[in-house]
Amino acid sequence: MNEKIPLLEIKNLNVSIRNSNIKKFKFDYK
Amino acid sequence: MIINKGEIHAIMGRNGSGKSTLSKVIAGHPAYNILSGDILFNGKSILEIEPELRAHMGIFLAFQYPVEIPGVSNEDFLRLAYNSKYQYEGYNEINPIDFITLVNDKLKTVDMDPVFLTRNVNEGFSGGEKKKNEILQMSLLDSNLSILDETDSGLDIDALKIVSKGILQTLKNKEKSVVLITHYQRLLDYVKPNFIHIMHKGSIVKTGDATLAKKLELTGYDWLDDL
Repeated sequence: MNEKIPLLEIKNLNVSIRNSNIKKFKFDYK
Repeated sequence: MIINKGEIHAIMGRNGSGKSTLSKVIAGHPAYNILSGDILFNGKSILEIEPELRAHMGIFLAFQYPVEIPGVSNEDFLRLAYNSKYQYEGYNEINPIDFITLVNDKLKTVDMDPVFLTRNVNEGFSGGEKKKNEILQMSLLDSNLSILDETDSGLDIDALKIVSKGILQTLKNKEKSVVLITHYQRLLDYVKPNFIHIMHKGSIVKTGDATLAKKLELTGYDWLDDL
């Protein structure tokens, strides 16, 4: 089996929308 | 969530679940604040890196709604984008004649008429033509990670096959990875993902293989509310 080489890693990303009317909306990528 | 080199990942989920936001955050869209966590690309954090530099480093995002750019010819746009990336990698600028040879070859992959090079970027293009133009850019830039945000939406069956062919062409290089954001199983019939992730309310709540997409086709997303 081929060795797995990570290209992209998302680590517990927590995001809010800047300059938006939606103040409390945020995403939590696990 | 880890995407290894050579892998195809699909992200599915309801409208508004955060799929497009994730893709934009990876690409570096300035509309988002990173509150915590990290994004590593080739092992290095890219959070502080500008979007254009991320593109140079090998992150490509095909837009869900490709932008029209009046006054800029598709050929100029593509050549400048190509030169910008390859000059970053230390190569010399390609001259316009050599570029035409290169881009004509790529046009065949997506079954586009060369006349689209002379038209303004996406201006007056049909929905399918815009999506093919995104795949043309992806093919030209040869990025290590291509994120395709609902590239299959709005395509007829023939265009879907052509777009799929373009994606598979990119994936012939085993170093390249693709993230497909899609609502439909039909794209995944042509481009078979290694993993399918389901997003719900901003989080990836389930990861599985191709059978997960088939389950969604049958059941929809209601079962996510019970998780």
